[in-house]
Amino acid sequence: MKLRRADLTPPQRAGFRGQFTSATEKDSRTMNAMVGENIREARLAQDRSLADVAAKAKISVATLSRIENDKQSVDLGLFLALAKVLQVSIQQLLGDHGDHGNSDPLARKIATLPPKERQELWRDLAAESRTVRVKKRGGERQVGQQVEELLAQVDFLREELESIRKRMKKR
Amino acid sequence: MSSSKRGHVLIADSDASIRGLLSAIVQRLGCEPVVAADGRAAAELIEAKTFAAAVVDLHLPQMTGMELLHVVARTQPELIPRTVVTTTGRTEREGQLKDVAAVLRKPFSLDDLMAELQRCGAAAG
Repeated sequence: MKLRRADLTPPQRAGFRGQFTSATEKDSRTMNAMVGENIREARLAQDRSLADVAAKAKISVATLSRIENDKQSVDLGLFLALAKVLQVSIQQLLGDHGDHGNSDPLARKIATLPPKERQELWRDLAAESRTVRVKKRGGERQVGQQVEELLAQVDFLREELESIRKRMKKR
Repeated sequence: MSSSKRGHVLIADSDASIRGLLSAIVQRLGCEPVVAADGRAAAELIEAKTFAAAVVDLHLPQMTGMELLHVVARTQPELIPRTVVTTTGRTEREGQLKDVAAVLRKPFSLDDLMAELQRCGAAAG
């Protein structure tokens, strides 16, 4: 089975980053602080403004900004409204990556691929990315997107390396 | 606390999205959520299973949260001080809730709920 970059929608590609602050990473922080950060990261991953998200969630821009910056607590109703507006799961906003039942199906599929097939997939993605860069050279926005994509790949690779390091430590 | 050590947490709320959110929070605390959409289903669970903590909404269909608390008091009295009650506005029967861990009025914050559940977990441990 081969999965290609073209199969991925922008939110799916963003999903590879694992961009949401993880519960285990920041257990010492308050839930509100972590949720605020995850809301901001989800919003920025979709290139959406504070005003856009706030309007859809029927709150003021100031309220959303205060939530994102841990200046205001998030109540249950508002949390659910923001998850709906941002089209992300409750688990993602809570920073819980452990519940794979609600993660992106394509990401789950890729995660279960044998290492060799995943290698091929990443090579295909890199090759296709190079082709796209050659075709569409120029434009600050494209460069910005490429940087975002590379950062996502770095995040993924960092997690992979960490997992390998842990496995080696156990042996 | 690890998930297996912390055990099951009953979540009784008629709102599916609230049940989903409470379940995610309970899982984040390392516990196993067991959900019920109405009071009768929650009572059946209480009679069949031992819980480490519970989150009970007072406004449940089939059997009210207050009636459910009577079932808890009869079958698992040790669960009462580890039960967080949620409600909309003030309740006339607040006096009857003095033994529960906490009464949270909607809309309560995620941090308030987390703090109360952690307190329940600590009491259970």
